[in-house]
Amino acid sequence: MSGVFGSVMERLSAGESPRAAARSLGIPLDLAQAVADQASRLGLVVSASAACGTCVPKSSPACAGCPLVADR
Amino acid sequence: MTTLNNCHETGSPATLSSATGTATRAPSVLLVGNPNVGKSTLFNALTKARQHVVNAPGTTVALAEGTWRTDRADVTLVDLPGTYSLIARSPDEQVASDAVSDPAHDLAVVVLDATALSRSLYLLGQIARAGRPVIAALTMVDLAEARGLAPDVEALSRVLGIPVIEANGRSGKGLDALGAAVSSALETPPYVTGVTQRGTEEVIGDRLTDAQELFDWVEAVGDAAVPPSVPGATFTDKIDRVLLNPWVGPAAFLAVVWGVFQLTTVVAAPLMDGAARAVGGPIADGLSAVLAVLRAPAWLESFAVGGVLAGVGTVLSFIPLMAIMFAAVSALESTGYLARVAVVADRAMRALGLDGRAMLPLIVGFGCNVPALSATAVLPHARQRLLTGLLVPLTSCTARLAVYLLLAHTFFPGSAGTVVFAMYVASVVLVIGWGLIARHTVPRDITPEPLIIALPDYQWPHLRTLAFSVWTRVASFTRKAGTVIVVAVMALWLLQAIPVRGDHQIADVPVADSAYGAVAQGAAPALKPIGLDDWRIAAALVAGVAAKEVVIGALAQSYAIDDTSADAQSTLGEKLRATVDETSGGHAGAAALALMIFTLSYVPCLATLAEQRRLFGWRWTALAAGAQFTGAYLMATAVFQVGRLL
Repeated sequence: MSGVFGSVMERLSAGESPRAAARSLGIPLDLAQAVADQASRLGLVVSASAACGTCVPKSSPACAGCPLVADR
Repeated sequence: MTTLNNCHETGSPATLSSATGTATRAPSVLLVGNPNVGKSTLFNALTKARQHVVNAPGTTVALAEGTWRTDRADVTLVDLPGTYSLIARSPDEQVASDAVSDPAHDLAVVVLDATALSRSLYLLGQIARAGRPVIAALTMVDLAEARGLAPDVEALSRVLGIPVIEANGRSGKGLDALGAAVSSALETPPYVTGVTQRGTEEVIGDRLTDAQELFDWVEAVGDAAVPPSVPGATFTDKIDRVLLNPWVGPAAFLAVVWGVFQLTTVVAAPLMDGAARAVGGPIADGLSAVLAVLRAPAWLESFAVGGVLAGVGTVLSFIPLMAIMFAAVSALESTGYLARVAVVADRAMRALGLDGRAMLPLIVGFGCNVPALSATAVLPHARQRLLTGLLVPLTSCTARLAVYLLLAHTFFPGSAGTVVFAMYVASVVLVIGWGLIARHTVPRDITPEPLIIALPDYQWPHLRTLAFSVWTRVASFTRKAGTVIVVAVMALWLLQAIPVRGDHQIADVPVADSAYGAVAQGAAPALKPIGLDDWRIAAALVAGVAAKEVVIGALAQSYAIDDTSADAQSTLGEKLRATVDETSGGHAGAAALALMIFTLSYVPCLATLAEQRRLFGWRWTALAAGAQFTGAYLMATAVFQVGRLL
């Protein structure tokens, strides 16, 4: 990956949030957020709840103890 | 049948062709933009009352259409759903993406948010790349000015090569200028400069390259027209510097988990003891008395008191503890901390040569293994899904927690929280250990890749949301535990009612002479190397294959029915302690630890096995279960044999 897209992805893969990546790279926050959003659409970035699939605690007892679904 | 000609192709105002001839129609203009950029406010101001709602073709997505009276002609304005990208993630976004690609529309007015120009410019770049003529309406300029971020409109227009009009739907500022720009654009379509036009299919074919090129263009446009702005360090950044540190992060996580278990075990201990004594004492006595008044037969009392009440009541006594633990987990999740755990764990996994993205299903596994197996779908390659799916049953689910808590409270009352914490550490060690073995034997060709996760900012938990989350989880746990245990208890009770030795009637047989007792006594000697040569423990472990929640219920049922085994007024923990003291030759602590290790890893529950078989087939499921059972037996034996020497 190259350019500002690749730079932001590198910071995200190092465990930085989009805000921290923007600060590290000296770019606007919304640019870093746009990169993260687009990378997510391309399947390169996941959100923590991506693993939950269609699991919803209200309807699935199996999800009761899941550490990732508090706000779903 | 009618067809719409492309204005870009004809270079003239749109015409409507039909079999009967040609008639003029109002040009169609799309209003496109990110969500919450003032697009609908602009639409309302431009079309006033001349608007109606239609469904997008072939969908149930509602679109607002209206007539916009510009200085030269009426145009049909279509307010598209807000989107950040033409790569859609929802039906609404797909409608916006499809409309942009549809040549029936003559022009796109892209609404640019002056406070977040880069995000808007990216969408503009995608539309320009699709070959659409476009002009821009710049909104939120007053807010951007207040933040010192207002773009230079003339410079922006120059670098984009299209008209950029500052517009405000609330005040009406710029609406006439926008109308004039649209009229001109319909006559001489403007195209964004600096962006190579491609057909839609070509864009879809190489999205990554496309994104990289467009973001470089966005950065260049921003540099030319927007004051430099770099976000300052926030509370989240300061905390992350500590919690995401490669050395401090894992230690902090272990400390947090230890704290959670200390909190849950210390606070919940008296509540659990009280509930257990109430179930075994007054409630059991009361139910027996009621059944006696009703002249219920002995077998019914045995079933109700010794079966259902003992099994369900014991597990439900864990509800206070589960509520505290769920509250702690929910609070950690809602602060945004648990997403950081995935990042910290990802580094550790990659250091060991395992794929970082496997962390998400493994974290889900600590809640329940079944959805965790389904969650392996986040992994892109089949062999990665297989490897992770084989490791998921080693993550310690909530059902196993109830077993640890009973044993920890019974055998290590002064350090129950630390012992339970140690079991979770053991679970992680097992995952890593088995992962390394599997990685170097079965799927050798997997290349570890990083987990790139969108980290949210830290935030304080919202108490109402937290309370709802805890309530939902407790209700789910209770429903599942109750249902599973009632079914299991009924099955076990039936087995206990069938005599296989001696001269007994059905439902009037000592447990030792029942089918249940015979099976359990047959299995019990196998537990001798672990210091647990007892039929009740063996039976509970066999029953636990159905579901781990059943282990405690089965133990409670066995002790409740086998009246001669111990003082009937003792708690389940006290009875179990007496048994293990005897079977372990006085090394009850070592045997209890061995039992916990065995429970952690001996075999997945039936639902997990079924899901594994569905995903990976019988061969892998049987192989993994066999290896897991063998490993569990050897580890438990080692723990007891070493422990008894210490």
